[in-house]
Amino acid sequence: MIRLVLVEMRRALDTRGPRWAFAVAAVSGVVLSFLIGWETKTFVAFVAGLSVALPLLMGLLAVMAFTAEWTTRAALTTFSITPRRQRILGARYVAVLILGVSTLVVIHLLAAVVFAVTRPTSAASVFDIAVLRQFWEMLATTIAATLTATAVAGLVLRTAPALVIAVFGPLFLTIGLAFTPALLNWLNPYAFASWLAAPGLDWTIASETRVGVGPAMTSFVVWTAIPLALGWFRQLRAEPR
Amino acid sequence: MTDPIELRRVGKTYGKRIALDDVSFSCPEGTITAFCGPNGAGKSTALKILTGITRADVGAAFVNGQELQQLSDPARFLGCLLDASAFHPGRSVRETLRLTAFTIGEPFRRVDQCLEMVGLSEVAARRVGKLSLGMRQRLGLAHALLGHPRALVLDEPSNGLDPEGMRWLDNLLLHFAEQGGTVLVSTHQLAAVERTADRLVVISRGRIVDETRLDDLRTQAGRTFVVAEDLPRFEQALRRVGSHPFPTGAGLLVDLAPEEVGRAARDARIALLELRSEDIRLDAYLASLTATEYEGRTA
Repeated sequence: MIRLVLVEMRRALDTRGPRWAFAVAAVSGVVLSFLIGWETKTFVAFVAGLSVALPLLMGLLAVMAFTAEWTTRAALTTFSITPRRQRILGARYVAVLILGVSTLVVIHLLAAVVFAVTRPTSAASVFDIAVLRQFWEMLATTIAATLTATAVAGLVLRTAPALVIAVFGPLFLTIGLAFTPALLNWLNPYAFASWLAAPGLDWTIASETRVGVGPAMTSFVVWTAIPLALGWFRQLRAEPR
Repeated sequence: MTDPIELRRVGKTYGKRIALDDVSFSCPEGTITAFCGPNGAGKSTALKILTGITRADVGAAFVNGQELQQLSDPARFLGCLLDASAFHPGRSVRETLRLTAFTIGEPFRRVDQCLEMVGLSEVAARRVGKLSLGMRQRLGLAHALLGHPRALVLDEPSNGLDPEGMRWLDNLLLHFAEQGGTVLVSTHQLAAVERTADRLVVISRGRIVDETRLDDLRTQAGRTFVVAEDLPRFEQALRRVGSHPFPTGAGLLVDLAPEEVGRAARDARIALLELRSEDIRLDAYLASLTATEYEGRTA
């Protein structure tokens, strides 16, 4: 299984498109930090702006990495050498998750270098404990966004519609439900990520910044678990053409 | 001992269209089996079921006596080329093979061996999307051979190959079979079938209509050319006695001995204008088996 995960990671990065996408994601993350945190004095504040773009970046990467096989018909070849598709699919989900997390780490490392070079007097703030706390929050967002994007990509199997649903769908839904806060609280696509960033045992909304288990699980089931299960089933049965 | 490749009572429908109906055949070890039939007859569907890409509605396909999904190391048993275009166009030739080698646990030097074998070493760094169809077929063959499989399943591997490439493919398959390998190859290249195949399986409208050894076909007596007064009625009379007449020129090519054709004419009270023995011609033979395939399609 480890070998298959390594194969899938290699597969996700061995062509120009995905390589550029990951590179652009890493660089744009740093550029974003630089622009948003132009006047900031601490590293935490410098990279804080990233959290806005992370769901978009990670969703984009995950969808591209996941749908390439189907859009290029290479799935036919892949499944013919590994007829037990569930092994390939499991490895692919894990590989995309690892790549998403790796991208976040690379963005942070690059941002730390840029921060240290441009603000040498504040360079020590890179090692502040608050950076770890914020990194965990972003990691939670990355994991949640990648899981949702791969789940939708696995269900739709086409890059463009998967991008629209997985990346822009949550955004549009959040805007659309803005006038019904009660519904938004329970269907909020980002609720699971928020809960994962700061897990608690309260069932409903605890505060402005904390999400309860109920809305988090609802969000996870609607935006990740159901598309994941349906996509898994579809890919096991689908006939690559 | 079980044959390396076997389809047992396989059925498959797409909506209301029956793609395969009770398809059964097997390929003995060390033989090349040509799988022939008109376009849309069900060849590719059968091969996809055999390779685990498509699920059969009923029946099952077996490789080395087991369903492919049950084999712990399927690439050691079966190598397949289903579609030479089913490779990522942005990946290099070498990387395409390395990914597969990595997946099935083959060392990377095997990739270079296979590239050498199919004559693609010089374009190993080229992206697949930049290859000609013939080169992609060669890549597909290298891909099929990577895991040292005991059997090969190839769907129209000669598409896009030039005459030299086709001779090369013939030699490759003959050598593979001589080493004890088993080949099932779907093709429209009947000249290649005559040169290489040991056995012929013919499919028409999703049903196996013939399974024979080429040697039996070559030595088979009883191919007859006949011209009769009322040709359509005589064709029906021949079909009633189990023959598969095929219209050719001014008459019919019949898979019966001349004396049997004569008896059929006598029984049907139809005068014969010409009657003679004919050598086996694979195209006519196949056409006689699949003659009804296109009926209704042009309406």
